[in-house]
Amino acid sequence: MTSNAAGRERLTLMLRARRFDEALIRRAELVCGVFHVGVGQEATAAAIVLTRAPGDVVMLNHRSHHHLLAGGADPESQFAEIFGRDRGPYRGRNGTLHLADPECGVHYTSAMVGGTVPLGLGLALARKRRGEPGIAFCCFGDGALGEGLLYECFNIAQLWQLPVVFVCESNSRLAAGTANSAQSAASLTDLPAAHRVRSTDADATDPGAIQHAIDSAATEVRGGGGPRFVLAQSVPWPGNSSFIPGLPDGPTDLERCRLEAQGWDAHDPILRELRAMVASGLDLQEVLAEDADIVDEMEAAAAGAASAALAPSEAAFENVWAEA
Amino acid sequence: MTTEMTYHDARARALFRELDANPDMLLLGSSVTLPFNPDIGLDARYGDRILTPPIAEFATMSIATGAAMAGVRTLVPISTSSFMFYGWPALVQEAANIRYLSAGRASAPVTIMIHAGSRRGGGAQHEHTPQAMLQNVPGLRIYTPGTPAEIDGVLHAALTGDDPAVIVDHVLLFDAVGGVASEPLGSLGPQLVRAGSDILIVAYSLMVQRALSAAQILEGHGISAAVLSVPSLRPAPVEAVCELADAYERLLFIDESRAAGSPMTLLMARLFEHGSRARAQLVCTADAPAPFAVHLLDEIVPTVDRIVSAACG
Repeated sequence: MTSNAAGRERLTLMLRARRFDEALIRRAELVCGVFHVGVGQEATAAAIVLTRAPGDVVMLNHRSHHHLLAGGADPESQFAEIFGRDRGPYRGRNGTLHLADPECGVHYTSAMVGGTVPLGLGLALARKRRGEPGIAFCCFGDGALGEGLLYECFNIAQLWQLPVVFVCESNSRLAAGTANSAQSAASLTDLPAAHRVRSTDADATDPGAIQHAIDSAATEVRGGGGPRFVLAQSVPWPGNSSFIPGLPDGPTDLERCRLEAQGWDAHDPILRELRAMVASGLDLQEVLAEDADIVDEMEAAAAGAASAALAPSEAAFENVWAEA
Repeated sequence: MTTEMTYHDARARALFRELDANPDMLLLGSSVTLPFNPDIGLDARYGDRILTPPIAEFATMSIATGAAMAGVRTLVPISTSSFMFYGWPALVQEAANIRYLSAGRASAPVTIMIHAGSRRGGGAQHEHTPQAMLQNVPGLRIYTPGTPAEIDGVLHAALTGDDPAVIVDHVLLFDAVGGVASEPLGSLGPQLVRAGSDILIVAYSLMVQRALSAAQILEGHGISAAVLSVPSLRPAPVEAVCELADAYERLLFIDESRAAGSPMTLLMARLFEHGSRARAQLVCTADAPAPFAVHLLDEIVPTVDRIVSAACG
């Protein structure tokens, strides 16, 4: 695939993720509880979607919408799950925190910080023991590197040479002298390095760069070289919050790619991709037309989900135990 | 055909049988034998099936859960039960929730094996009873074998079932002798291990053996005590216990856990809800951490003497 064709495909995946989250933020009152969006981190999701092969697994966390939407999840059923509706894939039991999509091969999402990382190691171990193809992409935030669990995982993945790509989606600010305000290490890549897990430090706001990093790491892991760590560093999006995200600058305006990037726009992977592609001859109108369709699709999906029936009470009691 | 054997031999036999029946099965850690058990030859016979992780219970129990999700059955021998506290989230947050949060499309039938209760000389941090805490986790099976036949059946059920499971093993059970059939028990519901007419003693794990010893002494006092063993605590066998208990005016529940939130207090509460008018007593471990000195330990745990006194009282 030419770099332009790859970029064009990424752009569609990123826009689907972005417009889903924006439509959700506009309906925050329909979500019972806090939720987390992936605005600014879509390039990492698109890179994994375009890199993964049959047999691979992708393990997500509490911030998962961008991965699922870029991965092809049906927006109306995902909105329905988040709004507690019966037609969500989990009938409202999972909501946003445990969002998953069996159609995308994501059966289970742990919202424990770092929780799905060792599960991914276990899935990788099973593949390795059986001689089956497939690697595990384990996605976690920079905060997970405060948990001792991750260090146990680096150690064991390297000791047992497990086919795992650790994907650290860092959206923290850099601090003076250390990786961030919650880390004493100078760089997050120093942490896997202590266990001799090889790392790449990639700019997750540059879609081509993060795609290259994920691709290379996955290729090395598939080749049997043990685990790899990719630091996907993005720049915190101003709409993020510990509780309910907002849209302080309104929904993303793709026309801003014509202007010189200012503020967070300079770190928006979608505007960066678009700006570069327009400069190399892409027809912006064609993208704007596609984007308008995506916005309409997401709005219709959210409205459809919002008017769907709530899950009935029996949904709370299903699938606790195996059938006898 | 039924063969008399020790609990320890029954356990080794059952473990070998299950490993042979499922060539994919892995052990993460081998402390099913050491440091408290005689070597059963596990390492020699199944060396390639035993992975030895670093001392990292959280990751180990989680990796075992992940492998189980992928269909590779895993048994994690944790040894001393309190070590599992480091891996608590793997079991409580992940394994037990996977079926629920995947709408039944995934499950994680990982088995964790622990040596629970007072092994004597372990002290405050090595003599816990996590079964009391774990019974509050929906989706998690808790097995508490108290006889050779029960450990045989429990290993089969846990290692072929579709739910995550904890086998609450006990170091002081190893020498207990009993009959074991050639096929594992078909049901792990409450087992009447001794018949009697005056009083029903309900117990699990090591307390079953103590109840049997107490019943023998009680016979000398002219009291005919039946002993009911509960080898599977979760889901709680409420109906089966209520049905059997209906025939008795005196009930004695023995639990090595502390009373608060213990498995036996749940059964007692359900029994009264069911309408029982029997006089029921609970003998459990007192509300103190386990002291190191065994004469002090015997002040807090349900000893045979304490069970006898309660039955006579």
